[in-house]
Order: sequence, then structure tokens, then C-alpha cells
Amino acid sequence: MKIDKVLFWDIIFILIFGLLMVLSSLGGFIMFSDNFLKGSEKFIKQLVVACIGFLAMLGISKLDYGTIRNWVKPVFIIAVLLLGAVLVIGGGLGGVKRWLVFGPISFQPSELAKYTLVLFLASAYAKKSVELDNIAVRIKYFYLPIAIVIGLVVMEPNFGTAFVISLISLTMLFIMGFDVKELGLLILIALSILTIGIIVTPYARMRIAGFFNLKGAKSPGTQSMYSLFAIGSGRLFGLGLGGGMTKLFFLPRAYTDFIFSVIGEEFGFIGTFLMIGAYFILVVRGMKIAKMSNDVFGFLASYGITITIAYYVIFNILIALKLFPVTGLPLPFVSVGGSSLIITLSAMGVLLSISKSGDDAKSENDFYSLRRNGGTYLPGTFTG
Amino acid sequence: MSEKRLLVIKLFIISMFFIILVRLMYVQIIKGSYYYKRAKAIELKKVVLEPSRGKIMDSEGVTLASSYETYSIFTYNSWVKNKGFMARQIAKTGLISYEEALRKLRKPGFNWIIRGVGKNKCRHIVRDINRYGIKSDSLGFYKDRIRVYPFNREFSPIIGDLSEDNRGLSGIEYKYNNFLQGERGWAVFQTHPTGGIYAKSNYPHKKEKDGDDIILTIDKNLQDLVYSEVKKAVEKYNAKGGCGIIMDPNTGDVLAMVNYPTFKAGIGDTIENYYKKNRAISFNFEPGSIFKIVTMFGALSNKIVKPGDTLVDSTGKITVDRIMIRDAEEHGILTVKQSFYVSSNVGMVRLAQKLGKEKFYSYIKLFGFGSKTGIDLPGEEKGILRSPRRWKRIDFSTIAFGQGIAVTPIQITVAYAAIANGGRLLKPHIVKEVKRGDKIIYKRKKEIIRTIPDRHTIDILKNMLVTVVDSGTGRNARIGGLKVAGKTGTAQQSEPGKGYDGSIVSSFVGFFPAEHPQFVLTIVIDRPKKARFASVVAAPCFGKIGNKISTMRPYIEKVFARR
Repeated sequence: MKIDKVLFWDIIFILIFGLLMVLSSLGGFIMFSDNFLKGSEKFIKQLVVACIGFLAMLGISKLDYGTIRNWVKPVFIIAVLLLGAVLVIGGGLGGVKRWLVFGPISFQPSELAKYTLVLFLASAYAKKSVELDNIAVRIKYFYLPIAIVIGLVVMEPNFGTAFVISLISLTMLFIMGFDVKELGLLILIALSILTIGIIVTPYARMRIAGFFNLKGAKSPGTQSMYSLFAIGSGRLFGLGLGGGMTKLFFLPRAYTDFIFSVIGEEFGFIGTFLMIGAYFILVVRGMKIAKMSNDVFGFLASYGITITIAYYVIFNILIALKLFPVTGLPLPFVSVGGSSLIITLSAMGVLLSISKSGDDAKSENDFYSLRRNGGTYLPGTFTG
Repeated sequence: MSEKRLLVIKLFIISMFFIILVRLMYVQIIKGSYYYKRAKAIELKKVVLEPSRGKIMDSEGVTLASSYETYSIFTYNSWVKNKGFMARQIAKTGLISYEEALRKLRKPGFNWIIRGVGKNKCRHIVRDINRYGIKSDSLGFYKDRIRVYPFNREFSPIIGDLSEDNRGLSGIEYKYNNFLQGERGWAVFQTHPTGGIYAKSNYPHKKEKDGDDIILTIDKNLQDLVYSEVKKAVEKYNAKGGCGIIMDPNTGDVLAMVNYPTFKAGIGDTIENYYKKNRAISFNFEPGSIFKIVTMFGALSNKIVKPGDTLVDSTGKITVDRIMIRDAEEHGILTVKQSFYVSSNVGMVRLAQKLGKEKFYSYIKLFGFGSKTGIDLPGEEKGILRSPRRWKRIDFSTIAFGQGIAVTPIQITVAYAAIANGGRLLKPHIVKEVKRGDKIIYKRKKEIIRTIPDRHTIDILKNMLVTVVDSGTGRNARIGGLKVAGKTGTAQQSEPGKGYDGSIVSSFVGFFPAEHPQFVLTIVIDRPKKARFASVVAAPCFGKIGNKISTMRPYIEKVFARR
């Protein structure tokens, strides 16, 4: 079987469109900087990273996903160790530690952690689904790894990423058939920890206050307000590539988390609709790959990767549309950021690898009519 | 995995995409125009950060031109909520009245509260404002710079003037504008949709670079001295104007360069154009007898005559092209040497005729006439020297005694400096150094345009010039205790369209001490009316300046020791 062509070209489309937007949103920096190269440095870096990521995607898609499965556990452990290392030797702005810096290269371990966690959960479920009644197994293979990853990310602190990872993990556990009451309890615990975390962290408190326009908020949702200005002023057809002004100064670093606003301003509703359409196709194809997959690991892995992308897209755009507090989530494939782009593309490689092995002959109904046990697939029945 | 649970997730994702789509339609299509208008109201302002213009100083570091900061206070209509209260508080500072403050605060948009006060006054105002409880973020401060020339007029033609937008228009301000002006910086401000402007540190900006300082070769004391003496001479003889130059014949440094009358820098002086020029480098005048050194040098150097040969017969006249040339007074029989002391025109005509026009022309060029000296000031003229192919016999006969040719004061100074220093024609300099902060980025070097060969003849000429002052026409230029070499020049000037109308330029050029010359001094008095002859008009002026300099000698020596 071949890889999913629709997904492949969809990714290429988003990637190229994204690079174009990066160039445009860097416009101000290129315009105002003394030499062109210095100004467009970020774009060139992103272009190089995109090429590396693309090659990684191609390479991984060629692999058999059985091989990938063998690598899940060690890579996940490495990701967790790196997350720990970031707290000790990491760098970032204003006391926030999110980056590991090796000379000119900086790496964001939380990006690696979120995908490997998904793969780890998928692989754990594939092995341990029979023993899920055992609370010790649930804790050891599911709750604990999730808690460690989220805990480390919260300590950076990076509430946005922690929030999305929590949501992804919750979704995974939900579709694995975990008890809803137990999950509800976990949500309550997580929410209370999050609330305390936000209260003790000034920048997070400010952003939440800003979102709800509370008194004492220093800049009442300034960023998201400007973002809305930008998107709105694009109207139907947009101001044209490079025509947006908002990105220049009002949205500092628009090329990272607020790049959707630049798309909205420069390409209008046509552009944002196309972009959302492209992401929607990606999600649909990702879910299709999940359905077509041969085994429970393939299913959960591709499903997990797909919802990770979906959640990032959704929350990034909700923030840009002032429907969610500013949390600093990248728009997959588009926002400037080497770690995010390379790892997202690698995850796409995994997805494409799984798509390659999917059984086309197997109809959707056949797949879901396989033996079930209280809403949970029995392991072992998928072999072959 | 239950289909139900998968469906829940599917529905969640689809509904989220749906919400986004609906929101986008609302924001971009329904409310699009509203946001477009609001966004358009956000203005970006690129504000230029003006650098401080460099100083101009004399060779001893006395400031001749400097820029200082002034402050202005402004406000934005929308910055201030309670305008009545604010106006009362501003009025309490005593700066402007309550009514005026209120009017300014109510006027929409941007308003100046006060403009152009010094740094200290601004500080006081800010302190008062804070004391009276005006929030300082209701006010903005703007820094400006003013050019100040802390002298009267004596330096104006050298320093020059600035345009409204701080660009040099003339003088050093113009010539060295690129060094002085520094580099502009800029910063970007934004206007907030709720009103007000602000800049953030992360906005792109470029810091301004202050201009370089220029240090002149001019010595303020010498400049003042020459200025006051030239002024006295011009006023005494009711002349149109005068100029004076002191040059160090060993280095080419111009130590003083004076024009009188002249304009006042920095006030937009509307004085007549003649007085706005730096005539010391741009005044083309017929030199008369001071030019005779060229004729004499040519004849002696070519060994056509010896100093003791008889040159002029007892008639004391010569007829060229049916035009009779005669001396101012009858001298009888003159030797070559004598004809120089008494400044005989007839003698010079004879020498030039013996020399022939091509050779004579080459000697004129040799002394730098007919070309600019290359001094680092704008607006230099090169005199008027026609090609010898167009000379008639009468033309080069009159050029022999300095009529029918025009030179500039700086050219004649450079030529005499060459005799003073033994034959090196130097490029005159007026800028000694350019400093960027504490670093010297330019230092003038001694530049020899050419070396005039024949040291022996130069020495003879030097002695002749000494005799002129000792016992010839230049007696009034004598300096007590010093040996002076020099020459008077009284030349008729032709006015365009009028021809020679009897107006004259009276000049004296000389150097001292004659044994080891340290100063070449040129005095040119344009169209004196109460007296004509240079021996009366220009020579005494030279003598007075020389005498004062000689009393300043301990100081002068100190100055020279530092060079």
C-alpha cells in the first residue's frame, strides 16, 4: 500500500502557505532592519527547518510502524528526561524555562514530549488493555506518565501546552474506555492544581484577567484585541500578501503564535477558510488512517497524533479570535519554531507510515464490528 | 473503543471547527468593515531621532559653534480625562495661564504646552508638575537641538550658517556637514486605538549617532586681533570691505581668516550678498604690485638679468601697443633691484618682455595663480588668468605689474608663504582635526602642492622684500624688533560694464620674522575712499597686527611648541 496522497499534499500545501506567511509576517523586521539578511534570518532558518522536517517526515513514513513502536518507549523516556533537564539548565524569557540551548540550536522538549506521550499511551494500551481493571496498571502505565509530563511542563511554567497535553491525554483515555467518573475526578484534581498555578504565576494571572477584562488587568487583552483587528480588517478578500500592518508592531512576534491573524488580515475570509479547510482535511484523513489501521497501536497512535494537531489548530485559532485566553500555542506547520515544525512533521511521518499499512479492503463497519468487550477492544484480536 | 465515545470526540472537533468558522464569518464578513476602520485609525509613527551636531572649535579648543538641547512639553487631547483640573495644575507651574492651558487641552489631537526650554528649566517644570499632582504620563517630552555661535561676527564666514533643518549652508558647517551632522536614528511609535501614543522597547528602532567635532587651525586670539585691525582700517578709510589672512608658512595652517564687514551666523542675516561671502578665498581682485614677485622671480631665475643690472632709463616710461606705461612717480635710472623697492611698473614690463609670454605664464602658474589652492572651505575662487594664447602684448605687459590678472587673497598668501619657506607651495588648511568622541578620525597633514626650484633666487627675493619694508614702500609695515619681508599693492579695479573707474584695492602681503618666517600675513582693503596707496592703507594695518603679535610672542611660542 502507498502512503495517503491526500494527506501528503495537504501537508505540503499548509507548509508552503505557512512559509509564505512567515515571510510576510517578518516583513516589518526585514523592512526596518539594516540589512536584508539579518531581517530575514528567521525566515531562512524556518525554511531550512522545514526542509529538515520534510526529509524527516519522508524518512519516517518509509519505516514500518512496527519499528516505530519499538522506539516509542526509549524516545518517551528521553523526552521526559529532557523535560526535566529544561527545569535545571533551560533558558527562556523572563524566568520562564522552556528551551534547551545548544549553541545556535535551541530545542523545546515539550514539543517532543506531547507526541511521544501519545505514542507511549497507545503502545501501553496495546500491551496492557487486559489489565486495565487493575488500578495499579492504570496508574503505572497511564496516569503516572501523563502526570509526570504535565507536571514538568507546568513547572516550566507553560500552562498553554500543559492544558493542551491534558486535553489530548484525556481524549486518549476517554476513547480507550476509561471510566468517565474516574476521569471526571482527575479533571477536578487537574483543574484545582491549574487554578493554584495560575494564581501564583503573575503572567498567567494577568492573561486570564486580560481575557475576562477584569479590573487591574494591565493590558486588557491587548494582543487578542489587535489580533481581532487584524483578522477583521482582512474582510472577505484580505489586504494582500504583505499588505497587513498589524503584524508590524501591534502583534509582537506575530510570526509565532499569532500568525493566523496575519493570514486573516492578508488573505481575508477566503484565506482563513482555505486554511481551516486544509486543517480539517488533515484531521479527516488522520481519522480515516486511524480507522483503516491494522492494530490497536496503529489506531491509537494515528488518532492521538491527529487530535494533537486538531487541538493545537483549534486553540491557536480560538486565541486569535479572542475566544480563549492567550496561552502561547503554535499553529502547527506555520508558526516559526524549529522544534515544533520538525517534530510535527516527524509525527506526520508516523501518520503516513501507518497509512501505508492500513487495510483498504476492511470497511468501516467491519472494523467497528470486531469483538468488543464493554466498549473496549480486546487486545490480541488484531494480530495478523 | 466504543463508537459512541469516538463520535463524542468527532463531534467535539467538528463543532469547534464550526464555531471557528462562524466566528470568522462574523469577524471578517459581518463586522469586517468595522474592524477595518478601527485598524486604519491605528497609526504608526516613525519618529526621527536627531543626533547632536558636532562642535566646531579653534586650535586651542575654544568653542566656536555648538549645539545644545532644548525641551518641549506636549500633550494629547485624549490623554487627559479631567481637563479643568489638569489646566489648573499646569497654570500653577506659572508656565501658561489657566485659560491657555484649557484651550490647549481641549484642542483635539496633539498640542504643545511649552516649546524650547533648557534642560534645567524643563526639569523644574517636571518637578512642579509632579508636585501639583499632574500625572506625568499625561504629558510628553520632546527634545530638540539649537545651534549656538558664541562669538559675534568674526568667525561667521569661516564657520558658515545652517539651514532650518540643520544642514550646513556655507563655511565649515557646509564643507564638513557629513562629519558634523552625525547619523539620524529613528523609533516607531504607535497610536493606540483608545488614543495616545507609545513606543515599546521591542519596537524596531535605531539610536542616533552624534556628530563629530571639528577642530580648526584658526587661533581665536589671532582671529580677534586681525578682525579688529581690519575693521579699524576699513572704517578709517571708508572702504567697501577688507580681509586678512594669517598663515603658518611652514605647515599651511591658516591661523586667522577675517572678512569685514560680514554677516552674523545663526540669525538668518539678510545682509547684502558681497558681505556673506568669505572674500578671503573668493574675492577676485587685481593684485597690483604684490604680484611683482612673480615677474621678478621669473626674470632672476631665468638669469636674463642680474639684480644689479640697469633696467629703467631716465625717461621712466615705456610704450606698448601705443599705450604709454609710466610709474607713479619719476625715479630716474633704476637697477633691477631698485625697480622692485620703488615698485616700478616700467621695470616690470621690461622684465616680462625679456622673459617672453610663454615663460612668464609658466611662472605665474608655478606660484599657484589661476588654480584654486584647495583650502578645505567651500566657495573658493581661482582668480582670473587668461590663456597666454589670448594675451596681447599689452596684456602681459600689465600683468607684469599685477594688472589685467585677478587673484584671491588666499592665493597670494600661499605664494608669499612659498617664498617665506624657501619654495614649497603649500595647500592651505583650516581644519586641523576631526574628532569622534575622544578619537581623532582625521588629522590634516602638511601637503606640498609643488616645490618652486631655485632656492637662490628665492633668497634674493626674500631680501628684496625685506628691503621694501626697511626702506621702500612698506615702511609702515615695520614691526619693532623683528625683520619683516613684504610688499605693498595698490591696484586699479575694473567694475563689470564700467571698466577702470578709479576704484582701487590696497593690499599688503608679508611675512615675519624674515629669517625664520612663522607668519604670513595678507591684508586686502577693498576700495578705500579716504586714501589710496597701500603704504598708507594696508601697510600700517599689517604693522599694527605684527606689532601686537610680537608682544604676544611668549603666547605664540607656546602655541607653536604644541603643534
